[in-house]
Amino acid sequence: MAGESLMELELGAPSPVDAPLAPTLRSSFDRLASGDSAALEEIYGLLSRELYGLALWRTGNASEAEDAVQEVFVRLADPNLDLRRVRDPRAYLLTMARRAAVDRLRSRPRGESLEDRVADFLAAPEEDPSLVVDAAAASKWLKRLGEAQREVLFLREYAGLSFRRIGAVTGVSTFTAASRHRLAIRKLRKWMGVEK
Amino acid sequence: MRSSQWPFSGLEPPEPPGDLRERVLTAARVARAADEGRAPVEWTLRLWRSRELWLAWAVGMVFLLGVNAWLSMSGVPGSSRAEVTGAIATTVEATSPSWLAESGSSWKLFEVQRILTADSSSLVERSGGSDNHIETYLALREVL
Repeated sequence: MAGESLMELELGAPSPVDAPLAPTLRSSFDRLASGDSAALEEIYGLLSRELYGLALWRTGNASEAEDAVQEVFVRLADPNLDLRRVRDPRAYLLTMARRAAVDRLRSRPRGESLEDRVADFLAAPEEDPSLVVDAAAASKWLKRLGEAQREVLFLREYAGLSFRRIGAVTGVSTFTAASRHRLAIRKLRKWMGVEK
Repeated sequence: MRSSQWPFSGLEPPEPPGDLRERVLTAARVARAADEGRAPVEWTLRLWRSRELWLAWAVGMVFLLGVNAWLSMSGVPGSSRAEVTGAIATTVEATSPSWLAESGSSWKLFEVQRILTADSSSLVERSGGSDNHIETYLALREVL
């Protein structure tokens, strides 16, 4: 990992995930801006998994993640929003989801123990149930990471965003995003015994 | 998509629960319907986004600033501080306790009160500390 140059940041490079998604999402945004409420369903279909995942990895709680996704769509439905001016709909929605998740974290009662409420961050695919144990262990390690590092991991590994866009979504510099990712991976590999 | 160092290959984040879709979309539709019913917000937004209104506001501001600057530079007669203070002193000189006692005109009292409130300290100062003027001032205070 140390050999991975910081110049591998894909500065400004579009994510391969965006290629098929971006035009459809743009079109849905434009339709919603024109008053077509059906576009909300399309947007949900396209991005609900990512939004829920990000909120889950940020809050560590399934119920709060669901509330965060709901808040995103309630805000998105506001007819006074000028959605045509949004340049990057995907980053815009991810930012909204992250903020909603952070709001949930802030509104938690002080001193509340989350031990019993922590969700599984990863799940085994249905076609390979042998990975269930791995998924439980991975969730335990991910839980040990800080929220900030966890969200960067999600955005990088599962949403496929460049570090520049991760920085924009999470409100940190590109290099901070890259650094968090690198440190998080190193910690995980160390805990797993893959790396000393 | 995953980096080569990612240690959890084969695992995926969980899907959102199945009932979340309906819950989210229903909440969004309800919120949208409620917002669409709020006409004043739309009206306010139109004003806020109207380029013509912004232009009119800007022209108005520039006009007011221009007039203010012009008045400051040209000096309208009777508007300087010295002239105003002089006028106050003249008014008080023409006012005596006996006149006040005889006068029943409330508008005159109001006018004197306004002048005194405006600059009572400079009034006493301009009177040169003469007993007559100070007495007049004190009498006026009592009456008013």
